[in-house]
Amino acid sequence: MKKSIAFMLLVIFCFCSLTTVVNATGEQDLPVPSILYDKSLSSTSQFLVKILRPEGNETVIKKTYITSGIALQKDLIVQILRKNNEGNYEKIYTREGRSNWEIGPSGLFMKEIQLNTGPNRLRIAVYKKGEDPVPGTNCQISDFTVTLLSEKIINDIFNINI
Amino acid sequence: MKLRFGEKLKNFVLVLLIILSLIQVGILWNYYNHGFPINFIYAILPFGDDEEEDRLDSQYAELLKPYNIIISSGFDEGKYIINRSADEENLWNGLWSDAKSYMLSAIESNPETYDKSKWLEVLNKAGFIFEYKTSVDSEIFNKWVLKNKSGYASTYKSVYKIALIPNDGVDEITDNMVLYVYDGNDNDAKIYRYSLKVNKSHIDYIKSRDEYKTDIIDKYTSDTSQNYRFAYELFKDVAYIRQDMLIKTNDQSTEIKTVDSYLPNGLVIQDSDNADIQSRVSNIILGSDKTKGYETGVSIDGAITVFNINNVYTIYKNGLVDYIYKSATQESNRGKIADAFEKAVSFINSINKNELLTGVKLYISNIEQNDDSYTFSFDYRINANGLPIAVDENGIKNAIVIKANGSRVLSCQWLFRVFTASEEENSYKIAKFDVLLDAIIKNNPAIEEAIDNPDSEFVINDISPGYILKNTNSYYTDNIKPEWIVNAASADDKHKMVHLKMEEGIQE
Repeated sequence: MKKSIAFMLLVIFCFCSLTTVVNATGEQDLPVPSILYDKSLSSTSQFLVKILRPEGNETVIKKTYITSGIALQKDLIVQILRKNNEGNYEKIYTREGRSNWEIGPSGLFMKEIQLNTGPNRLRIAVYKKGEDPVPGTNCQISDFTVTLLSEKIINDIFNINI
Repeated sequence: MKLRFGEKLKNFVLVLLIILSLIQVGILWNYYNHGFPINFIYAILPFGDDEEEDRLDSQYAELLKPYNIIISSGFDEGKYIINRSADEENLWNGLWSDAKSYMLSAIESNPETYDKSKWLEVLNKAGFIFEYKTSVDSEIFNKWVLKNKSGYASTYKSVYKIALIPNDGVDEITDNMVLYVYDGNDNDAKIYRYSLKVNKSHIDYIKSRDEYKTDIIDKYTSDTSQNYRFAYELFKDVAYIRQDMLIKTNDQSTEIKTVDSYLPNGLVIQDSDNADIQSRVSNIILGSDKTKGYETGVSIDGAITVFNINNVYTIYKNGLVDYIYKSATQESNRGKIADAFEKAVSFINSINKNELLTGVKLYISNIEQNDDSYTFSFDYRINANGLPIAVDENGIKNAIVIKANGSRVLSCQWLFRVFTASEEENSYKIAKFDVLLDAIIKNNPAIEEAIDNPDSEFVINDISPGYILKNTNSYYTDNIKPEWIVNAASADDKHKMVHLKMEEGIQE
């Protein structure tokens, strides 16, 4: 009896250990190449993906934001990061619970993220699948700032308009 | 007084000629007409059959309703497609009546004119968008939709899309409603902007211009799970996506009924040679009171033919009815499009639809102008949920295709099927646009090649749920499940009919 219980617990332990981040659709987030966190990197040209939203730095009034783009090449992985209060990039998750994804055959992507109030320093990094990312070579870095206005400012704006 | 022999002979010849002419008239009567020769009186006297007129009016109104009405709360905000189901019918009809009354006012107004690129700017505004599947010529629209009797001609040459904008910038100062008319789908298309005095709304709870925003737009677009965006808001300048198509921005599940489709009982042909079956079929198609003067026969492929000197109906076993007008003279004048459309609708009405057209409504899906005629295409939508039925049968792409000129219908192909929606509903995943498009392309790899090849001029105009009607050779097709129907265009017309089974199961 004790052996059976021990065996079951072992199975549960192994199962839990092997389970990494799994999103709502059952697909796993990929490990993030460490270079993408590098704060010293600056934006490259958009040679792998044309980012359609954001169109440069934007100021918005809604908490949810949809970022979108169209691939210029095949077999690409997109990673989305945001600078935290300490100035370090960290993963942020889309509505589907992913921080990265492979662009499908349509070449299009659109992902909804939650914004923090104030400036959101976003990094949309794109790299060739199965390759070690080298920015400017097989990796595109696109940094944007999307600023979410606080409710107070929004109310002030609308009150002024009225 | 005695008549001379010569006089008697003349009288005899005269009576004989009168009898022969009556016989001749009788023969022609059988071919051409089946009533008393007083129909012309109705045309010149100011009375007529009001009931028949009302019936025809409602028929035109139904066929010429817009395909979609969209509620938009502006750029980067929610968009909502009003259901054609019973619970939103009043809103649908009320908004359409409002749009029609502003269109009627617009005819007598001077618009500002813009080129078609203005349309995306119009879509940035909060308001109501009325979309047709095809450009409806202004002659047809003004006569049959607006019933315009003002004598004014409209500036717009056709109506493809309409936008009714309650709060349009500078017009807030004048308290005017603004109406935009997008008049076609070709490169020369124009956008017309009309600033109009506020009319009383046909929706009883809308009392002022501002209430369109507070009571309709905000209410219907606040539920973000139901929302769409126009493609240009997220995929600006992506050449293969029509910029004003609606795209879903998040996953959702929805309940959709399955439908059964079957051949109308009256058109089931077990044995083409059987005289009773021939008689039954001709009665169904022509109406029992109009079969006089028609003969029946069987074509080499087993179809029943019903014909007289000018008219030939061929009724195939799969429910396809092919009509051809045979004329001794070639007519080269196509006449006015409104007259041709009237002939086409009269032809649809002449068919005994009570038995043949159940469970569905017809909508106008295409209008083309030919050298000597016009072609009008109509398609089916399920009454229960408004979803379209796409026909994917060899050589047949529309439920009805009628070729007509200003004088008569020249030909018609009509695929008859009866549809019944099941009581049960299944849950289906409405995937967000990029995920759905990836799935469609994985299922149809040729699309990826078309996208990658700019010469293909491949453009996706619309992706929406609907039913596919195929394999009509069987009398009965049950449990037709909804599919994603991709409406696309390309230089080689290869990808016109692409569809993908909808994924079942609730998605959270």
